Amino acid sequence: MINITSNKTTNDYVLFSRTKGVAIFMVIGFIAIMVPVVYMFSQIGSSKTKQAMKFHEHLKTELTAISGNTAILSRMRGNVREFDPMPDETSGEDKFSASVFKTGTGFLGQDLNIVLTKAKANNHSFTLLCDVEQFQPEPSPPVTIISHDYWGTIEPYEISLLADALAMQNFRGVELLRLEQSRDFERAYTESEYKNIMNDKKNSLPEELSSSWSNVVNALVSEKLPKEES
Amino acid sequence: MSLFRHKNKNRTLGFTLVELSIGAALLAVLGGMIMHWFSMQRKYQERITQSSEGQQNILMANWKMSNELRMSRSILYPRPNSDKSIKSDTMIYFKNSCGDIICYFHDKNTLEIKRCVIPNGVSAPTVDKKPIAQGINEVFFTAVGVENRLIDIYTRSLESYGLESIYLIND
Repeated sequence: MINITSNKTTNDYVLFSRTKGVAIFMVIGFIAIMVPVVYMFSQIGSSKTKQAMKFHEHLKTELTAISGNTAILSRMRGNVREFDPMPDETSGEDKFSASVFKTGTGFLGQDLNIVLTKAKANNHSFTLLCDVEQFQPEPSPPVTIISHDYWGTIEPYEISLLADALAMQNFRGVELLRLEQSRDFERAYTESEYKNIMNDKKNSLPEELSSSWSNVVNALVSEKLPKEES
Repeated sequence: MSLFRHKNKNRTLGFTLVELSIGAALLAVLGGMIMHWFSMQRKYQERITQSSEGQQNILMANWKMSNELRMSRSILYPRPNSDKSIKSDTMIYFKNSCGDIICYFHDKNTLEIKRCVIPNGVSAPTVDKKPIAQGINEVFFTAVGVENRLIDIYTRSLESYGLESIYLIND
């Protein structure tokens, strides 16, 4: 005779233990997977996100500083002069500070200025420095302005030093002297002589440029200043 | 029947092969879903980083080129075609404010925009050691003005694109 009651109890116990076994296995396995995954997230995820945020902050401050710089140049074009300092300006929601320092007067009576624009977002800040030549408003605004930026500056720049202000003026002077030299060079030769000299440069050009050089020489010859008779 | 009952009675607690297989299969599916989601997140983060890098490269390139181009005196190449249609190229020649000839050209091997100075005199051309910009996949200079004073610069860096239009202010 089979003891049905006893059998049922045993089966129930076996079924219960099987269900419990799968559940425990699932829980342990789930924890075993999730712990390293969460750890990886905390390590890789956070560092990548921080990196992305850093780029975002960098771009944001950079663009704010550039916007600020453009705003200052626009005001200078509208004949605003020496508004120093000019804090609490905004570009959208972002603040920037801008200052204009007059450093002297140029050959043509124009004002020589240094414009410093700074933007900051959280831990990142960006400073843009440029020098601006602001001409006189004749007959009326807009005033002609010429600006040079110093993005390529390698050495630390201290604008309060007189030597730096002089260096900027000298740099402008060197540019003008070089322009005069290149114009003299054009005036010293006839068109055919000038064309031959420029054509000879083809051999010393990088490989990528040699194919288009003849077009450039033709354009140069068409713009050449006429030879001056001595 | 008696044999079956005997087996049940002496059965030790633990997991059968079927239980382990079901558990392992469920965990594999679960793990696969998590890893897929994880890899998607990583790809998304990489895209954000690449996008930022691309924008940064384009911003630097356009800023540096437009500053010098704006102050230059004339565009020598490319110029609009004889039928006044636009012309594009991966290089540009122009006369800078000093009267010298400057060329920006794209190096496809290094993905750099390089600057070459060709003196308007007897000296030999020189290529700047430091490139104008790095990480630039494509650049096209398009002459659009009949007076050779208007130039468009199209740049692509990774998945970011930039378009700059520059008008020359000097004669």
